[in-house]
Amino acid sequence: MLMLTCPYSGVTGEETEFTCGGEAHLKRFGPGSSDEDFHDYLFSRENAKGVHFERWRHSYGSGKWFIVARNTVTLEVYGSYPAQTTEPPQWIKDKISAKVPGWSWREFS
Amino acid sequence: MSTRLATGGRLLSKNRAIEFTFDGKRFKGFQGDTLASALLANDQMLVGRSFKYHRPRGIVASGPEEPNALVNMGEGATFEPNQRATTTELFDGLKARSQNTWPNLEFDVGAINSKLARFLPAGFYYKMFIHPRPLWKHVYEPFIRQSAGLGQAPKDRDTDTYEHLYAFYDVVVVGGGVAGLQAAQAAAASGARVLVMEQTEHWGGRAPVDGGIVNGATVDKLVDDLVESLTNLNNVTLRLRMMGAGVYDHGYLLGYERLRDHDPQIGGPRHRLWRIRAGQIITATGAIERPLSFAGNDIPGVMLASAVRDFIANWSVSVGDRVVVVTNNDDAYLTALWL
Repeated sequence: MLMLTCPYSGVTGEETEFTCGGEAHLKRFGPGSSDEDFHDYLFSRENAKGVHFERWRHSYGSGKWFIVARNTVTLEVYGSYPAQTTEPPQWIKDKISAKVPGWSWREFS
Repeated sequence: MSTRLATGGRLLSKNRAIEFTFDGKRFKGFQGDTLASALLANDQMLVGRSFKYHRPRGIVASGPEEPNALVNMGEGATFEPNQRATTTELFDGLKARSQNTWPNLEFDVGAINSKLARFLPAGFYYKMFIHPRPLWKHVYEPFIRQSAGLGQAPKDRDTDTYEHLYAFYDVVVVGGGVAGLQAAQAAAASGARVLVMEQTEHWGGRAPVDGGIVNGATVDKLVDDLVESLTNLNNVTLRLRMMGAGVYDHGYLLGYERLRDHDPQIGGPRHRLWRIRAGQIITATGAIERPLSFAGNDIPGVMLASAVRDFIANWSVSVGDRVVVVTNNDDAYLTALWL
């Protein structure tokens, strides 16, 4: 059972306190976009084996959304940061590089 | 011819005799026996029948790895099928019945299946019970339901209570053998909050049976000393009859404690599930012996060599007058020495 830390309240809890919200850093395409973009937004996911970025909400706590960087193979959690960014902050990228050199996920590495 | 020996029995209290029944027959055992050791002491090697061909099955091991000695335990509200005789501690008034036999264990009608083996290849049921179609609901299905499985489903409601709790420790040690106890001692010395769980009712694991000299004394003494020093520490929790049921990620593990299976007179919940979050988990669970494959390795009387010496050392039961030891490594010589 994962232990996640909400970056707003600072609370570290078991994953049962939180709700998973799917893959992070998706670019939303709505009405007026091409079929292909809309289809990709709805269905295409990285489904990475290894480094992965996910949206989580602290549903039994602050209720806020944040993004967790974790490894889907080793179940290690690298850290969490507020969801109001389009790109993972540099400190978390460095932290992941220290553990998994040469990683890449979508356009980040 | 398995019998009780006159002396020995590390885990027995020979001054406390116990009566129990197996398949309706009354037997005697001692406090500290498991159901398997008591059955062997009463020369009862045959304990069940195999799934499909109803071949006779006897006791193979002395611990939770036992595959054959699965019995129906209890009656009414306390009835539970598929209990291993090797992990069931004997108590006064225990009632057990063998499984998958009719009308009785020695003469089982189901054994005819092994004569019909030609017509019952693997997957035979995919073709056999299809025609005639009308017969399925009232002829085939009841017959299949009746003959499927080993034990019987309980019919009465379970009146026992069960509880669960959450626990947090710095270090959790799964396994109360010498390795686990020493790990616990080292962890406790550093000030950590430690939990040690052992699934049997005694500390030390295999070491007191397999022998050895540590610091000029037998291993028993080392185990006793370790347990005593750990009991006196207030940052160490020791639990017997508690199994490490699963180790998961981020230091999460489940412990399953059986509180009164060994003595139904005790009040309170029957089992307790511990949901533990640990800083560090040490699994010191030891090893179990692998059986050898050869024609006839499923006949009652074929046992693991370590189990044979367990029965002699722990419960003073001799499994036979003439014993053949077959081995592919050094371990079995210990059994030969015990015999």
